[in-house]
Amino acid sequence: MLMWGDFKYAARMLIKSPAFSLVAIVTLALGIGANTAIFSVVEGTLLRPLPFANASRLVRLYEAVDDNGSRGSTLNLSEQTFRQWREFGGNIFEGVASAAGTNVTVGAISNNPARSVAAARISANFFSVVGLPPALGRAFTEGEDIEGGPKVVIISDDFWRQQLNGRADVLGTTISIDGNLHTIIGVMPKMFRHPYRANLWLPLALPANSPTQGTNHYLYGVGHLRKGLTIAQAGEAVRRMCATINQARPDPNNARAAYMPPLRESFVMDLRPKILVIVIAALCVLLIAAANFAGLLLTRVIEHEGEFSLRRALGASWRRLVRQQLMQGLVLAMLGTLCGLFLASWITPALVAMSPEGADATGSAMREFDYAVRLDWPLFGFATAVMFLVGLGFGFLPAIHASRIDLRGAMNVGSRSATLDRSTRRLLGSFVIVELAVACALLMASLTAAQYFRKLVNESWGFETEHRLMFYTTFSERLFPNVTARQQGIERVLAELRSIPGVLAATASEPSPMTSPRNLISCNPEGAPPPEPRGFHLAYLRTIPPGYFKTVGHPLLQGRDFADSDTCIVSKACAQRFWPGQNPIGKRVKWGRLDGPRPWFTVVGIVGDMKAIADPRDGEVVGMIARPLTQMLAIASNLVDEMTFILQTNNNAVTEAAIRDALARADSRLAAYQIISLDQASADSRTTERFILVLVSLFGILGLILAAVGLYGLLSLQVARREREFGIRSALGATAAQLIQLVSRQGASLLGLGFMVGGFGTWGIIRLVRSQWSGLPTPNMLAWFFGAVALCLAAGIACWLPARRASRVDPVIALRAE
Amino acid sequence: MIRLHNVERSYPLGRGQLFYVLRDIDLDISQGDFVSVMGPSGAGKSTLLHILGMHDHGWTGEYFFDETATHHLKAKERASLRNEKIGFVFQQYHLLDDLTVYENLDIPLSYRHYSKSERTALVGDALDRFQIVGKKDLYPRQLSGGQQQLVGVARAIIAQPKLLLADEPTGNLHSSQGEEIMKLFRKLNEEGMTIVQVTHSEKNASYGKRIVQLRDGWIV
Repeated sequence: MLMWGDFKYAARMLIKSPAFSLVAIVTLALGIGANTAIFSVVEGTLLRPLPFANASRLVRLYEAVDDNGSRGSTLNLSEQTFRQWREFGGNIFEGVASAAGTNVTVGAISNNPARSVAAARISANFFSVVGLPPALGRAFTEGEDIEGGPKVVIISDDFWRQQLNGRADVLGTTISIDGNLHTIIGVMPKMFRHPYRANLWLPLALPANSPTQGTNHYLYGVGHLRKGLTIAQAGEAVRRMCATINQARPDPNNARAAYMPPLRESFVMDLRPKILVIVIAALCVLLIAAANFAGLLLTRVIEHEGEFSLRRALGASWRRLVRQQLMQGLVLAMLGTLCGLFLASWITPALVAMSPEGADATGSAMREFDYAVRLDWPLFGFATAVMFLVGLGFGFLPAIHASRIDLRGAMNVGSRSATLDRSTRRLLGSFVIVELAVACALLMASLTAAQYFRKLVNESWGFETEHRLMFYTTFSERLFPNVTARQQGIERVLAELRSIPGVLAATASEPSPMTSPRNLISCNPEGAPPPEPRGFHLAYLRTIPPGYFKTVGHPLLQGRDFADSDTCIVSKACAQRFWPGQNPIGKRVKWGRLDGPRPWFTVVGIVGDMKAIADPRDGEVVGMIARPLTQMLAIASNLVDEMTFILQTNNNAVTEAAIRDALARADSRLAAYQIISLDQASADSRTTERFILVLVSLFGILGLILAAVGLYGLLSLQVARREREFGIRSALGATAAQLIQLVSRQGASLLGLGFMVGGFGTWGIIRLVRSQWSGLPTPNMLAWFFGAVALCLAAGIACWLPARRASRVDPVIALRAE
Repeated sequence: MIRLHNVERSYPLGRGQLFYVLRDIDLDISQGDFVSVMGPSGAGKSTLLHILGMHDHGWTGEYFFDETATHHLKAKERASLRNEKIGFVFQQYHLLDDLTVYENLDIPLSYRHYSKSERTALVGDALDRFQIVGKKDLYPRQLSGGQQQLVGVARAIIAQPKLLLADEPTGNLHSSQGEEIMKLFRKLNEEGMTIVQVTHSEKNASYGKRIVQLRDGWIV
């Protein structure tokens, strides 16, 4: 009953002071809304369990090239390793499955034209290993997972609904994939697109005896650990298994150990530090909002000192006063949380739309499952926890203050001090210092993020992006069964593209010039011992026809273009790393291990360096090695599947339709997808960093505004409380400027302390995040300077209004208490 | 020294009506005078004092101070004139709570741009003259009411004004303390300072040289 009375009283008091209530609610709504929205993303990406029955025992399988199985030297599985581990790993794994990503061309379906669709080739046991059967139909059988096996396909729920209108009799019907009719045997559950964001799943159907089966590491591997085995035990068992395999079938390409993170962990490990940065920024905003809220409540207590004294005089216990004040804080927190949830429901879709889909392999992986940001129980739980933390936690200090007000003093208005007492000033000041300090740290972070992003964007790609278009086309083995057919197909496409009006030149590349890290090649320079323990260097491999560098405007620094086989062109960094101080032209590079079967390439040219794309292997990769397309098709045609075509155009725009027509003229079975200018691709290439920058900057601005509001609130209270003092000072001869100076000096000292504490805080946060993310940029002098300027400007505005009010205090009114 | 002619002060009551606090005030105060303004509550005593002290600007009429027509001056010029020539003593003392006695005395000087050494000398003189040297590091709350008013008077005259305005200077003091303050006023007046005080007390008024009676805004 008493609680209800307190609640009613709190509600009445808040209605009576709409301005105070509004500021408090908006402050909390901003803090809680921002944090709830971020939590929804964190919950969806980092916390939500995988929708697999075997989720807790699933591990991602990487082949380690050293005995330790450490993360730094790992590769995807080769066909050989996959087969060996399936054969020998029966006592470690319930099952080992693998998959490879690809794009396939799906033929026209009713009104939908032929299109390129993301697909995954999976081993027959893939769905049973992860523990998620198709929602309709069945998974592949071992008999279907063989070279030249039946043409069967499993489709995604999206594909079924969007392309096939969700027809009930879908099972057993056929669709054309890369020119061959495939029978649909299953439909996967809604939202499931794993791996590679696939819409179609085809049998992996590994070739029986591929020449590159031991050296081509392209398979995504997943293992289902036997019950009772820990990851550490399994890792040790795999190491023993590798030794056994090596004894039974000695081969330098055999794996030595496995790196096996939990499957879920493998998707988020690279994303975690980046999300951590955003979470810290959001928590900073919450802290500022909460400190602001506490300051507002304390201000309110101070303004109602007389009332609290009266209540004490009438017999209210301090517990009762605390409870009454806490109830007020809680009611405000509830309203703030409700508004925050509304705000979050509005912000979250925008956050997801802005988040880096596809740009970050690990980040986008989580979207392959039942990933949808939604307002669900965990989210409500989080918001409620924040509400109680802020409402009760931050409302507690003002409540305690209310219960300790001097009985005799506060009731006598005449005897009230013209200024706040020292402890109250300290408490209020400390709230503002915390706010300013956190805002300072946030500002530093957003300015540093801006600098880092600017540096990334301004860093030259190493080639021209202006007046260049690119698109992808899949040259699958099914459409082009031999090297000659594929080579002729690529040449026909290039010839047709060159005939488009406005096209100055056309070339092809694998991979796209914007995504260097997709293809890594192992190599060793002539005359140098291989690096231990791995036995080879890593370089980005680029497969291109002659004339590529000229078409994309990539400068040839030394030597010549390709003219014959067994040649390569290397980037400047690569040449300097391999042959420092020597002329690299004529030197040789061995593909793979020095004792391996792969050929030597002679360096015929040196090109400028390319912008490296953020990759966990950064620093390990020595540079780029370019190889002639014709020769790579001949010796490793499976590596040249998806081709990127690049067009150099004049100022006249080349339309998408013109490109599609040219492709249709070259081969009607081919489809162009992701037609985009290199300028645009360049702008899109930093979505993860841009996402972080935008969020951290928004939080920085929000924090700055909230901190300024906090400072304004404190100074306003001080000025209101000191009105009489300013009147006296004015009567004693103080000019307006002197009074403004007086108030501003107080603001400046708080600002100085806030900046100092914020500086140490920033340093601490950087150290914390750096332990997770070594590539984290650190603030430089420019960031400190502009951070200080921004903070001073915000604080200046926050000081100016109360200071001006102080300078306008009419001594006659202020002294009328006479 | 001071000449008021037809000075009126009013406040709007709404619908074009005015409430007059002071009506048709004509008053001359000579150099060295000691005037006590008396009258019942609401008679306009404090308003008159604030007009004389140039705190109030919303009046009409003419106000000459040392032959300067203050009614023609801008607010800034009046403030400057006030700072130079007028000191105030208040009933509530109005010492600044967070400043020591020394700092309270220093405040008016700092607003008048005295140099540090001049300020030190003048504050030292005042502390000595009012025999409060021992209290210089105390805060107002550590002083008795009489001591606080003593500091208030010291602060009012430290910048050597020509005119001292006092609004009920003994209103919050018990009789012996009030008497001391009034004796101090008389002494200051004898030394040449012009004083105008507002008081309810006949006894205090007797310390002055003449009395101005106000009733309902009129001088009677």
